[in-house]
Amino acid sequence: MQKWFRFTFVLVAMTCMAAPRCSHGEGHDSQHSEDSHVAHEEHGINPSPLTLDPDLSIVTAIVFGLLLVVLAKFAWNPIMEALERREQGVAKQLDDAKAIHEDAKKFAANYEQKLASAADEVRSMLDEARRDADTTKQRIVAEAQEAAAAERTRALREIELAKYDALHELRQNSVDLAFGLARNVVKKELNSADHTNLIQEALENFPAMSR
Amino acid sequence: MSSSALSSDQIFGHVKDTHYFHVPRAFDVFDGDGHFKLPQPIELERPIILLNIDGMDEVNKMVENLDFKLTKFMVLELVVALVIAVIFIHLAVRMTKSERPKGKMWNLLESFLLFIRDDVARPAIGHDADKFLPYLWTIFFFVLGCNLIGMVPWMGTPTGALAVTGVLALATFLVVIGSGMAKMGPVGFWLGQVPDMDLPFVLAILLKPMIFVIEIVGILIKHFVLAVRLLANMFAGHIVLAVLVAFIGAVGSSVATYYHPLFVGVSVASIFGATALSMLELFVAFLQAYIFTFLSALFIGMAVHPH
Repeated sequence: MQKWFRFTFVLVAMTCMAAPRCSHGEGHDSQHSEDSHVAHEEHGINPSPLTLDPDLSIVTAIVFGLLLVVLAKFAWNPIMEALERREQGVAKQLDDAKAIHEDAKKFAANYEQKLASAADEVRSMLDEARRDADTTKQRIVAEAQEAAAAERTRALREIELAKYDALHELRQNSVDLAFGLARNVVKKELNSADHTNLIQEALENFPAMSR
Repeated sequence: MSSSALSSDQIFGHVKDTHYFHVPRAFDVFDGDGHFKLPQPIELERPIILLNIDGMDEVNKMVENLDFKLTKFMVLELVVALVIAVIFIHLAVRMTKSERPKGKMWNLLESFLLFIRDDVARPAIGHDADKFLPYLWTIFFFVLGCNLIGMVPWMGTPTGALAVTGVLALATFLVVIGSGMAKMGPVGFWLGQVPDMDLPFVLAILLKPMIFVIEIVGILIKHFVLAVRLLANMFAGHIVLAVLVAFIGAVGSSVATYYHPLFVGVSVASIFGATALSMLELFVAFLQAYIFTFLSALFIGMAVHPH
């Protein structure tokens, strides 16, 4: 703000200093009017904007023509080539980048595919393992059942054998007991007829007991 | 009073071409009139050509003498051309050496060049545009330089003279005609000016020559207007600026002291007004350079691709 103020002040001060010289004072004014007059006569200031100075036209044509030739040779052509080169470079880099992007997409697709196949493989391995486990389980159960059945059969046979032995032993003991009992009875009051009856009875009853 | 500050001599003397540079008198260490006169390498006793056609006083007044006098605008044009050449040859050397644009100036200049190429030349001319780029770039920067140098205090605006804008428009005219004839053939180009209308033979005999004449006059007028448009914009803008500043002198000669409130008020208002208008003039300088280039490209495009 202060800068602006200072700037404005300087401008105004300069104008105040310059303006009196420009238009004040009789002597100076007349001097300047004379100058203007001379200048006007010298170069003939015509207020029309459509005046044409052939000198200026010729110089303009020469200056512009030379500028065009010099710039075309030393500036515009190198600049156009440089711009073209840069544009081609940028286009090539874009193409390269696109190609690399395509490659990367392919790699990514391959990778995805591999990941998917690996997951499938894992799944099939898991299924197989599960199937194996089921088979093993069934086999173990079957074996256990078989073993249990064999054990049972063996136990039944052993029971049968034990029963047979027990019966055999019982029959033996019964005969011995019968003989002992009979001997005791006979010893006391039995005659031979009684004896025979008793034996006969005992023998008849025995098979029924042993069965 | 009025003859000194707001007179047409004073006002137009600041805008039109002169044989001297006008600076504040305080800076003039020679004769104190504020005019740095240009040295004249060629002094002729009488002009080589002095237009004096009987009964055409207006034309005689309009066309000045051909006397090889060095003027302010000639010097300024030369300065502009040299500055442009130095800037762009330097840019070309940098661009040839390096691939990447570095620095503000390089980017700025390149954005101008690319704007003219991509937004002016190529849309207006089409696929042949790059052939005309050197011309369009040169004319854009030359016109812009001539417009802008008028914004430098105590300089002048060469594009405020018909001699300059006329030659530039003539250059465009020659490029238009030349490119059209090169593309369509010398006869084909001129015949192509008459559009195909499927007229009955009798009507065609009558109408086509008239249309041909109208089209040719149209081409001439278009290029004349190209010159006048630039001239009028630059000339008028600087006249307005000169008038605004001349108010200070006009009021100064009518007051007793320069600390008079009227003088101070007018001075301040004039300076602010001139500053604001100078901003507008800066914009106009770029706009007119663009318009001149754009219209040149458009005319070239119409000549190269008539339909």
